[in-house]
Amino acid sequence: MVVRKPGFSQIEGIDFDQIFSPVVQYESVRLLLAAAALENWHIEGLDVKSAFLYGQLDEEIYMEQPEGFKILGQERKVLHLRRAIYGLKQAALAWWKELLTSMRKIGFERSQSDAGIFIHKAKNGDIIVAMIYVDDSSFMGNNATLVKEKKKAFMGIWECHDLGELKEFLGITIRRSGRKIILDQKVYLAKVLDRFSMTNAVTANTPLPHRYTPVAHTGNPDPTLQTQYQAIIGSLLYLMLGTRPDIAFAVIKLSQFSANPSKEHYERAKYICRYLAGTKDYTMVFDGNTC
Amino acid sequence: MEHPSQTQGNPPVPPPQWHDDTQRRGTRQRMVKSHPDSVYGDRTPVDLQKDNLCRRAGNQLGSSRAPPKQPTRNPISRSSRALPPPHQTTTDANDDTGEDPVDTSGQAHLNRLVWEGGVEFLAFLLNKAVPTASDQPVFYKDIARLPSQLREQWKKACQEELEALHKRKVFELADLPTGHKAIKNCWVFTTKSDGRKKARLLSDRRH
Repeated sequence: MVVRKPGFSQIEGIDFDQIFSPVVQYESVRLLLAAAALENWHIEGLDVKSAFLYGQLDEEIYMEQPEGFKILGQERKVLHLRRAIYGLKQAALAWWKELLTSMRKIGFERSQSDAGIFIHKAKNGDIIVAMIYVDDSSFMGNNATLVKEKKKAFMGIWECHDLGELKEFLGITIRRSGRKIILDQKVYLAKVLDRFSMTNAVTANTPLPHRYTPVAHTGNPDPTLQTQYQAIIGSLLYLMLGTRPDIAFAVIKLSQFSANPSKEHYERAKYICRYLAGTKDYTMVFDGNTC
Repeated sequence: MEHPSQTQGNPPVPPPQWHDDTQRRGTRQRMVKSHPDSVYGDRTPVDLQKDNLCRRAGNQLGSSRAPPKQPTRNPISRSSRALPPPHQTTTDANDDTGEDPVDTSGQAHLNRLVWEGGVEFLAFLLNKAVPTASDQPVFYKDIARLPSQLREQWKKACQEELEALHKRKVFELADLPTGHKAIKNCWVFTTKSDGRKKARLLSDRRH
């Protein structure tokens, strides 16, 4: 999945998301997985190969020839783009339009509240839900045969990697044990802790110190600190939205100082990391119990 | 030397238009581009989002609790804050040409984002997060400095990507028509978890 990949200056979420929101609605993902646990649904994973390259372009766009691969004698020529290419702001929307058409063809209708969710209702009451975020896709439903059938139909349209039973979605590891669905982002957490040298830090018992009240920084913003602070808060936010609602209050509180963080705020962000270092084995469990 | 009589009589007056220029900008009516086949219909995503918020706020009117979202979204109720109301920039955001990076970078924009909060702010922060995949956005010229064996591997990866692009007929060689500008591109190199080397050609308008 390329759209939402953090850390890319080329795909700044800022003007991009007015065309198409790159923010995955984790609420939908968690809700559907909770429903899957509850109903003991069958879940299959898929990965569309180079999804963006399928998108049709409405505009005339020219691109320079790629560095190192200019055609000899024709260096001055350019490439006329016929289809969307990664990094193009129109790419996500162009692909999504194609996707929507194909999903309708195989009997799915899009959800009104989340452009990444498609639903198929069979006449006998069976239901198949597809979550598709760019190229990361998953089909789930009560009837395993029907799920496989729809998945096959989808694979007939798009060239895909069949991932079998869903093990991972949007960087979240998914494990099943009986009815239970267990989610974690341990790999990503380890990476974040490593990046901010917090892997072996003294652990903290709470996300923030007792009665901590942040004070706004009054001086001029320090650009280096700002960048670091945004990186750490962004990473924590990613974890929070995925599988760690326990740090939500702390992260959102500290995120308010992203424009002008002080050293103190940065230390507190690291405090959250210390809490995570001490609780890195926490997982999110949907146990499928109705009460 | 003789001056015309009227300039002698009147003291020099500064051109009045320049003074309220900034204010006029704010009230200027912006035309939203309409794309006939847009999935959003004739409304813009921002408008749709606003509709949703209004609807949500409307639904909560019946409940005894005050709607929690609505006041924070309303720029007027927070006008006591030092920052300017954000209505101007939300309409700006519709401009999908991306040619106006002036206020998207910089502290003022950041302040506004933090102050407004919401999806846009979250998206901004998420964009700053440590990447999930082990991507190495390196420039092509960095590859040239690698030992020859590695360099060949990366070159091969580039070739594979170009082949895939050709197979999908993504582009064709052409002369640049006058009046058009060619966008830049860059290579992004990734090592997959199984050690495979993957190169991806990214287009980019701002590099």
